[in-house]
Amino acid sequence: MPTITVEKISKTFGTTKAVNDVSFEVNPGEIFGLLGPNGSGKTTSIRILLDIYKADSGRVDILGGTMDEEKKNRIGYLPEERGLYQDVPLETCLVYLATLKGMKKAEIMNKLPGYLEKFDLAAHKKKKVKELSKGMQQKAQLIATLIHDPEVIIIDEPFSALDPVNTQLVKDLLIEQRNAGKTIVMCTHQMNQVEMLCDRIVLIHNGRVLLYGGLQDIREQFSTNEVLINTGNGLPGALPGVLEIRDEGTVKRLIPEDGVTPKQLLNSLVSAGVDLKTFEIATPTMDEIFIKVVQEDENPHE
Amino acid sequence: MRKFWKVARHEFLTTVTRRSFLLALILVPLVPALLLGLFNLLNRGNENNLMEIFAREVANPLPFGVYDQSGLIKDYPDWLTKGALIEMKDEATAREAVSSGRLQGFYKIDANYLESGRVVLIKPEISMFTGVAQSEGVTDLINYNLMGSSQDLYLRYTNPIQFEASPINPETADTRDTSNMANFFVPYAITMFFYFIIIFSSSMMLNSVAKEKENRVMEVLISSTDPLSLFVGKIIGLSSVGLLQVLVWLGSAIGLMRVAGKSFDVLRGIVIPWSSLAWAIPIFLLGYFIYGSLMAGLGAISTNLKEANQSVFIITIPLIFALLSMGQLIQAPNGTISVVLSLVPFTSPIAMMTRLSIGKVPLAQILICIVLLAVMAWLIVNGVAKLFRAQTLLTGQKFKIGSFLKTMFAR
Repeated sequence: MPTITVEKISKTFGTTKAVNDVSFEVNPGEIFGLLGPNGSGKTTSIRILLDIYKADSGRVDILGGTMDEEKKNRIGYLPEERGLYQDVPLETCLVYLATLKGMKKAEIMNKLPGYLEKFDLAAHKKKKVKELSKGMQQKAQLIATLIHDPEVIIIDEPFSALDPVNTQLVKDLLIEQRNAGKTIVMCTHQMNQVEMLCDRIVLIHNGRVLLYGGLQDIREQFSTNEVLINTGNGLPGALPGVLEIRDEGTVKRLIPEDGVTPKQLLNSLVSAGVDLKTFEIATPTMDEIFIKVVQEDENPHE
Repeated sequence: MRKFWKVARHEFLTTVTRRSFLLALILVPLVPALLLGLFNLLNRGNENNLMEIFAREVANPLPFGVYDQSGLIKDYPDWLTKGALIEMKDEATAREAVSSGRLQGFYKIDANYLESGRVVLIKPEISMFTGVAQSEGVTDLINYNLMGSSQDLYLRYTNPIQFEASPINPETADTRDTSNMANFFVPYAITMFFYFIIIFSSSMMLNSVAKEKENRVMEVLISSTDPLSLFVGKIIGLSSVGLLQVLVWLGSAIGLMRVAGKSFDVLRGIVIPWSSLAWAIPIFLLGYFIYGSLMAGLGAISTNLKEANQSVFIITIPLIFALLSMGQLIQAPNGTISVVLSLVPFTSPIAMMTRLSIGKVPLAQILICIVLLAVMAWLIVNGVAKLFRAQTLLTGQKFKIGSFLKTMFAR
């Protein structure tokens, strides 16, 4: 049974249709990518999902029913627009936010030191939030998102303002949470992170769903019969079944004629006596798929 | 709605533990207390109180001479002159006494005084204030002698009536001791105090909401609790802060008045109708609910604190109007304008407190004031709650009083 079911939700602000008939499901124990360009309707969808905004139409089921105050305690949310109380000490700020998630003071004081230690913030707990760097504030906000051990984690651009070390820390943390059976919805523009972390995705553009499904399925759906090769010697001027050879730096991309499969291309290469070092079916990256789908949606007749 | 207590607790604790708040809470009564303690210390061992010492220091101990050419001055009674005026037989003796430092100077009363009224003061230093400052004693002496040296007649002349005012309605009588001028300043002080405290407390509400928007923490908050709980929690938490401030400052004022009365005659006779001021608690709280809610509404729709502060004036206009009407309220506390201002909910938190500080206000008027304040507070709190919607809190717009009121009172 899905943890989150979004069914045909729509939302209009003035004359702008921010979300238009969007549907998706998120399952327990998966990292679900909510993708889309700026202004595509991702944040509005998340706010509807969290009951911050009411949908004009459609329905959201979360944790087995509609949202209520008790369920808010079972959800951790890291919004895109980060924010903490600037004029209070870090510890005070985190204790208050955890209290609002239904935690008891004793429970917070028991768990908080571990989190502060893990995120390398223990030495800064008495400092005012405004005295912390942007990256530290980002980590502090992650603590506020996770400290109450939520069943659902909704996290918008989790890697912004983080250095590579902390990016890895957050990635490990998300994987750890997924392995613990948590449901994670992640919004990000960083497609390499999507490829590394997400099990399934939905791509929204202009408020509408353009792509939805398993990451591997989508990549296969967009894959062509093109192959990437690395050779020890040169390539002959012409190869049977190959329409074009593109030099892409360390590798060469072979674009086949219509109907020619990768296997047939491999046979051609072997027959031609090419010294193959690597041979790889060129599955498109999520970046390429993202750009292709969004551009096609913007210019459908091109 | 269950989380509003958590919000209230947080708002109360973070505000009262803020250094600037604690300094204001403690220093406002502490500074006058320290000054008072210092004066008391300086005054220790002196038989006379401090004011008398000051007065004595300023006064010049040397007397004046009186050389009367008219023959009018027959008598120099001690009870009148207190040794400050001494009869001089001739001008040369008077001049010599001045030169030798036994007199400050001397008055020469013209031989033709009854026609001319001419009196000349002769002294080493003459300034433009000399005539005003130093003619009082000799005037009294001449008046006394003009009345044939009759003490009774003179005293009746100087104090011709024993004025008493009897109010038609004793219930609304001014309870202050009119013989002490300091009592006239009490209503001004109380009016200013309540004006300041309502503005200060309401501004805390504005700051709290506007800063949460500015710091972008609002989205985290409303994903954890509903906006109404947030609003109600803030109202309760920050009104408690305001109440704490009122109690501490008023309590300190009572204590200081009592202690100060021992050192300063001018403060000894001040009458503050504390029993009437007990009404201050409900009136302040309801006034705070109105203005605090309006400020919260302003914070909710504004983009940031700077923009919100630019519009505060519009909301506080009624309070400023009540403050500007302070003269009318004090002159005629039971006049029509005063009664109207003390019943209209937007001006009554100040106007009613001014009237209560002057004298007794009919109980019915106090109760009507409180009921009207309560009704208005309920309407405003409910209206502002409509502004505490996620869409408003997560965006921002320019403050326009028309659309503000329209949203608040829309069905």
